[in-house]
Amino acid sequence: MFVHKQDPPALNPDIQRLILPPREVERSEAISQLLDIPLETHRGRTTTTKVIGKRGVILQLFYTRCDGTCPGTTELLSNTAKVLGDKLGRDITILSISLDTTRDSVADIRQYARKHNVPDGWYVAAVSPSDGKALLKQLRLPEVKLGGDGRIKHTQMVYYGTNAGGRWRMIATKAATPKLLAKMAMFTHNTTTPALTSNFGE
Amino acid sequence: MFRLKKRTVNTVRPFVQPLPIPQRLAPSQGILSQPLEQRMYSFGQPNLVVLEEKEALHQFHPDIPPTLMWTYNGTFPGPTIVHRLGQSTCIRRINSLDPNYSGFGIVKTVLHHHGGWQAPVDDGWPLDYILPGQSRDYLIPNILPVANDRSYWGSTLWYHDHVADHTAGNVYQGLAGMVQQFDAFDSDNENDPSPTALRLPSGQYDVPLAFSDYILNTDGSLFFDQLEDKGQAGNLFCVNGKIQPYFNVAARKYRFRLLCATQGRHYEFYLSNNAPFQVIASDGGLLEAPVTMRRLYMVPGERYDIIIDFSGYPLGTQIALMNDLFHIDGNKPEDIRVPQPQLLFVVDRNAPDPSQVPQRLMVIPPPDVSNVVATRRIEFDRRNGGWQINRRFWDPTRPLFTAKANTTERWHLIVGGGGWHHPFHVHIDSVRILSRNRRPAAVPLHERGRKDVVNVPGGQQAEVLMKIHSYTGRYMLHCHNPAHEDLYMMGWVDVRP
Repeated sequence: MFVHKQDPPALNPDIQRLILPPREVERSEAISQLLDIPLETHRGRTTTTKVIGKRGVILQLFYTRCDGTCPGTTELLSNTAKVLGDKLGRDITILSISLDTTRDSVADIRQYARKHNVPDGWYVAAVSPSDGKALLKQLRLPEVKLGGDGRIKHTQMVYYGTNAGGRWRMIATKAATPKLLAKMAMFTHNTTTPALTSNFGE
Repeated sequence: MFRLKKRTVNTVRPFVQPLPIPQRLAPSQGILSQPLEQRMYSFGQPNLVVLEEKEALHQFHPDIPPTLMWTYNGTFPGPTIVHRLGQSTCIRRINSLDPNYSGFGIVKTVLHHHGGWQAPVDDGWPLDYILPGQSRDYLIPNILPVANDRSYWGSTLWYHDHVADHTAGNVYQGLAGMVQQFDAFDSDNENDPSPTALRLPSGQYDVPLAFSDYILNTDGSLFFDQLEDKGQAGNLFCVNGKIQPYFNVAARKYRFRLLCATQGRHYEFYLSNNAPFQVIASDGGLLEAPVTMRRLYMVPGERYDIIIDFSGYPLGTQIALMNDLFHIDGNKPEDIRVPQPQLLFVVDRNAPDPSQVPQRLMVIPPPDVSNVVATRRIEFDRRNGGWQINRRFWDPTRPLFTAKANTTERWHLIVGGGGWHHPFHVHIDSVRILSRNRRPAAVPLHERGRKDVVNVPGGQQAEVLMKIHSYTGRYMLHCHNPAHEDLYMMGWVDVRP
């Protein structure tokens, strides 16, 4: 870099007037590690989000009574799990966390998981209302509100990332095909795999 | 445990550090460990330049601790690449980033030579990444895609990372630099004796200015929200990587090459004394004639070359380059105006000025719509919880449409409601804007040259003429708000023979 080595100028009054007074800026911390919160899983285990360990994660926020986007997203994840094959549980964990913290019981979660044939490596889980609220805040999402019709307006995003790598991304569920979601989750998780073909060989 | 608040730097003292000028990247003289593949000699012996992506400490401001960034060759912004028409360049890019890095961005990197005409393989397809320890060569032909039409030769370009999903994070980490292009007319020599030389201000009077906005934690580290879907608006205004620097100028003409390299922030530039300046070039090259303006609007990815003449000012004069657009996020500027100085010019010396600004800079043939073979609607909108083009997200396996090489198309760029701006960018080559909101007269004079970024505000449209050249293969088109493109507001054109 080429730099003129000179002393800073004494500012003229008309320039000094242009300088705004300091103002305070508060910011919510940007995500690096997924919030460590307790999970009540569909297998009846109590664990935490730390269960993902060094694996990459695909994170779904859903609720069992949803008749809108959630069934489609869960189907997307089911098919993504099939694409991942033996990478599921080894390289990637799928985490489906209920947003409906007041209504979704562990029994509801278990039934939902059974209905969707959730394989090993995929955790369907309930969290406490306060933990759910904190998680939404970390993901820059508004608090959920139960509508009069029993529905919850919620995100259409699926998240993927890695605690070990500190990288987090999201994709609109309508943008994601099972192959694309599996590949991009692996892409973000793993930084050592060379690009064999530039369109995933598809 | 998750902390709700983060301490970030609120304000710093402006105008306490000089403006740095990125070094021009000299052709590499060293012996290559890996020889160039034969393809690199397609246009003769290329100039070889080397860009090494590596971590380095960068000081945004003397009051803030140094920041560890990703850089090209150790500086932020990266060194300036210089091209000359008729002399091809091979860019050897080496990824020396830390494979064990943890944080936003990804060490799988891609290079896009933004504004250049190059084959798809050299263009920066978002999945053509390399890993730490790998390198990749890019051939930049530096020839005219349309024979004898100099209007296809750009003036100010730039290069930046373009990897899928993480372009915003990687560019914010520092992977960006500028490009200057010259030819026999715009010859980089204000003393050029050739009668056809333009003799625009050159050398130390030809100054690249890359504008970006940052948020810094109080420890100097970068604050970046990976889940911001609108584009992060920073509170610290940087020029060439320094927060609100000053620049001592001579009382004479300067050429400034402005690049908006932000995550979503727009600028409306003006001088604090409201003096006029001349716009001489846009993204795609020199304009036909200088356009005198007092305010200049810029969006992410755009470039304009301007001439400021300080010759009428007494020594000691101070003039600030201002911007008064106010952003909460990257989607659009808010309705209020907040004047903020970006760069302070201090007239501190006299100097001879052999430069000139000719009233005729370039011959730009009028847009020829007589041979248009296809007319397309390209609609940008928020649907299905994300940002879409023609109701689709980017699909690396499926093009947005197929086009034929060596043909001309007319594209209607349409942005839906909501007020969000979408700066359209296409990789094939620059375009000509035919109309805005269906009115040809609504295209301002400074947008009548060649453009590769066309901002379309919410609820508005623009019509562009796209000449598709001879290369076949995949070329991207996308919104140049990096957060939008990372959320797949992208598509690609499959150019076929």
